[in-house]
Amino acid sequence: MFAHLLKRLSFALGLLLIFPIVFVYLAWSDPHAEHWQHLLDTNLGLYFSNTLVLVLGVGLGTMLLGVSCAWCMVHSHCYARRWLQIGLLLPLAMPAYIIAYTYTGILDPAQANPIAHWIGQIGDIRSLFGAILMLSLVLFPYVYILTYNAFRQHACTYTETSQSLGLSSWQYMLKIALPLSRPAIFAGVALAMMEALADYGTVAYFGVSTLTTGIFRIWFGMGEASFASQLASILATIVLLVLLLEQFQRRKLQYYQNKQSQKAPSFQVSRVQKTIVTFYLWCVVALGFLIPTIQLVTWASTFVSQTDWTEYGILLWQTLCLGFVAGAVIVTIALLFAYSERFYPRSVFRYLSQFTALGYAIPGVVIAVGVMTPLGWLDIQINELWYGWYNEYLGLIFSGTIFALVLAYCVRFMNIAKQNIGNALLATTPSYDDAVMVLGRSRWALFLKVHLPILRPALLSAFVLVFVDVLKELPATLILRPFNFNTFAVKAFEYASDERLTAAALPAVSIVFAGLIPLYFILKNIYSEDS
Amino acid sequence: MLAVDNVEVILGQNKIVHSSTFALSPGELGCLLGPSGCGKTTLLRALAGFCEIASGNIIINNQTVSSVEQHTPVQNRNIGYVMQDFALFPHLTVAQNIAFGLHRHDPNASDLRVNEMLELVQLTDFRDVYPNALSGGQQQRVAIARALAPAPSLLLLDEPFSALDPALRESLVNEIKAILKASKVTSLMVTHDQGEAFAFADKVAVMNQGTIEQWDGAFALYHCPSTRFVADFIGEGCFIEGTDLGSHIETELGKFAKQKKTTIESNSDSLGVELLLRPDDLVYAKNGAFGGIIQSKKFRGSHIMYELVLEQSGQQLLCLTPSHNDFAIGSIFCFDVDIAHTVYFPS
Repeated sequence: MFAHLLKRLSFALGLLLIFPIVFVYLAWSDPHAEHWQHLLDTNLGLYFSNTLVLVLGVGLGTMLLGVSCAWCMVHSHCYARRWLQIGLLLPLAMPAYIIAYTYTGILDPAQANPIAHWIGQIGDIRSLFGAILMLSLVLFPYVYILTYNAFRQHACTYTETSQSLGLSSWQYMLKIALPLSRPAIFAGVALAMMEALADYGTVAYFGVSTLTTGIFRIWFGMGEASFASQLASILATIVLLVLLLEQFQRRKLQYYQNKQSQKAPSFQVSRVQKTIVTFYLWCVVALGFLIPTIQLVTWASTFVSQTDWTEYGILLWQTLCLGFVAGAVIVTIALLFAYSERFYPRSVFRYLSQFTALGYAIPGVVIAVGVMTPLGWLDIQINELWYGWYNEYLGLIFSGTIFALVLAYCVRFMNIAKQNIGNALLATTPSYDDAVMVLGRSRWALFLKVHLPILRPALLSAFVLVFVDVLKELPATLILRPFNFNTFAVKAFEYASDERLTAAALPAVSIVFAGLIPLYFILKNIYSEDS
Repeated sequence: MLAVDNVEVILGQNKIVHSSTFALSPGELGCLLGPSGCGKTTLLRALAGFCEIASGNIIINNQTVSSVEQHTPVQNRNIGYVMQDFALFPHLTVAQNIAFGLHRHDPNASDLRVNEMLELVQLTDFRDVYPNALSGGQQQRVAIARALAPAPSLLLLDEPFSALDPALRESLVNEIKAILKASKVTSLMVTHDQGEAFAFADKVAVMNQGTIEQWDGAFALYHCPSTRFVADFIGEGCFIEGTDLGSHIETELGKFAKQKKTTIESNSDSLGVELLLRPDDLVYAKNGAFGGIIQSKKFRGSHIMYELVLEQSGQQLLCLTPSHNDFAIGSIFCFDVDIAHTVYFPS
C-alpha cells in the first residue's frame, strides 16, 4: 500500500522532471520559418561556428592538460606530490566565468603591468581563444581524475613487462597507457565538452556569440520565447550526441579494470626532469586556481571598506537558503527515486528515472527555457480564472517564484544526488531486508534503523555536491530567480559585467571557497587506494 | 516440531519445488543437500515465509504457518534465519546486532540475553566491536547469535559456510553444531557440500530438480541410497552391469546376494541392472580373485584412490586402499570384492 503510493509519487515527479526537456522540443510545433531565415542571414553561422570551435578547443585543451598532469602524477617523480594531488583538483572549485573576469582584470592593459602588456601584444584575452583557455583551465580536472584512475589501474606488471622489453617511458605511454586509457580520457573530455556547451558566463562576458548567448539574445532581446526554445532544442541535441558518444566509449571501460594497480612511479628520472615536472604541474595549479584566487582575495580585501555588509548579509542568506532548499528537495526526491527503483526493478519507472538523469547534461539556459515557458503559461491561466471568480489577480505562483528555480535545479542536478544515493543503497543488500523481517521488525524499522544510518554519508555528500553546484550555477539562476532575489553567482556576474571587478570579488571568492568543500568528498574517492 | 507436507513452490511460471515432505523432531539438526539450482534455498525461504507455497502445508510448533489459504508473515513465525552473507548491519556493534531482534524485551532483559548469547558463541570480548573488525568465522557466530537471541522455535541457515575459507569450514561446522546442540534449537541448513551436511546434520534431505529424493541419516544415504541420483551424488563409486537372478545379482565380479531393504523392485521383465560399487567395496589382496590395470592414482595421505580398468570388459572401477599399498600406473592391481550392502538399479 505504502510502496504503491511511493511508486505513484515517484512516477509523477519523474514526469515533472523530464517535462522541461520535452517541452523545449515541443516548441517545433510552430516552425517560425521567417525567424530562421532571418537568423540564417545574420548570426546563425557565427553561433554554430563559435560553438563548434569552443567545444573542440576545450576538448583538446582539457585533454592536453588532463592527460599530461595525470601522466606526471602516476609515472613520474615530482616534489610535493601530496600537495599536488590536492592542487590539481582545486580548479574544480573555480567557475569559468569567475576565472574569466579575474584574468581580464589581471591582464587589463590599463594597468602598468609588464606581463599584462606583453600578453596584450599576443592577443586579447576577451576572445574565442581566451574563452577556450579559461574553460580548459578549470575543466581539465575532469580529464585528469578519470585518466589518473585509468593509469593507476593498469597493472604494474604492464610497466615492468614493457621495461623488460626495453621500452622507454615515452614508448610505454604511446603504445600501452594511452590506448588502454582511451575510454577514460574520452569520458573526461566529453564531460568537459558538455560543460563548455552549457557555459554562458564566460562567453557572454568575453562577447563571444555562441548558441547559449544566442538563446539569451533571442529570448530577452527579441522576446521570442518559442523561437529561443527551438534554438535551445538544437543545443540540447548537440549535448545529447556528445553524451551518447561518451556512453558508447564508456562501455569499454570495464574491460580495463585491474586489481594490481600501480604503486610508486616506476620510471627513473633525473633531478632536472623531476624539477621540470614539478614546475609544470605547479604552473597548471597556479594558472587554474592560485593566481585567480589570490587576485580575488586581494580585490576583495581592498574593497572591504566600501563593501555594503548588509547587502552582503542578505546575499549570503538568500544564497544559503536557496542552496539548502534545493539540496533538501533534490536529495529527498533522489531518495524516493532510489527506493522506487529498488522496490520495482522491472517497472517502467526505471526508464523514466534514467531519462531524468539526462538533465545533468542539459545546459542551464535550455532548462530555464523549458521551465519558464510552461510555468508562465500556467500562471496566466490561473490568474485569468482567479480574476474571473474574484475580480483580482493572484500574481505569479510558479514562474516568478523560487518554485521555478528549484524545479530547474532538480532537472539539472538530480543525477548527482541519484548516483550517490543509488550506489549507497546498493550496499544495503536484500539480505539486510530479510534479516530485519526475520527478527520481527517492521519495514519502517528497516528504513530508520538500518538503511538510513548506512545511507547517511551518501545523503550528506549528495547534499553538499548539489548545494555547491546550486551556488555556482549561473544561467538558469539568472533567468529564473524571483525579482530582487540574488545569489553570489548572479551578483558576481552582474558586477563583473558592469566592469566593477573589485566589487565582484567578494561574492566570487565566496563561491570559490564554498566550492572547496565538496573537494573533500572527491578527494576521498579518487585517492582512496593510494593510502 | 517442523513438518513439511507435500509442499510445492512456484516462482513466476516455474515450479521450483515439487511435492516435498519431511519432518524434524525438537532439537534435531536437518539439512537440505543438493546441487546448485535444485530448489533447496527456495524451499528454505518458503519455510521462513519469504515466499508463498502453491500447495501442501508447513507446520512449525504445531501451528500451520503456510498453506494454500494461509500465509503467516515472516515476522510472526518465530524463526531465526542466518543469511549466506550473514547480513550483519555494518553500522551496529556486535552487541547491538544481537539485540536487534530483542526490541520487545525491556533494556535490562535484552542486555542479559545479549550477554548470554555472547557467552554461547564465545565472543564476550567482542561486545563493542564493529562487524568489519571480525574474522569470517566470528562474523558467522555473531549472525547465529543474532538469530538465536529471540529464542526462535526453528533456526534456518542458508549456506552458512559458503562465504568462509575452506580450511576453516570443518572446524567451524563442529563449533556451530555444538552451539546449536547446546541451545537445543531445531535447525535446518541448506548446503551443496556433503561433507558439511554429514558433519552437521542428524538427517539429510537430498534434493534434485525440486524433489526430495531421500530423507535419511548420513550412513543410510551412503550405503543404502534409494535412487540412482542419490547413489551418484553422495560419495564416490561406479556402476557395473549385472543381471537380476531373483535372489542375487550376477556380474563379471561374481554373484552378490540381494538384501530386502536395499532398493525398489525392478521391473520383472527387465533383468539388466546396474550394481553400485563403492571404492571401499574393493579390497586389495595380493592373490586377489580379480585384477585391473591402474589407470591413475590420487594420493590422499592415509589412502590412495586408484582408478582401475578390467582387461576383458573395459569396465572402470574405483578402489580406495591404505596408502602403503603403493603401485605404479600401468601395473596390475589385484583385489577381492566385499559388498556389505547390495545396491542396484534397473539399467
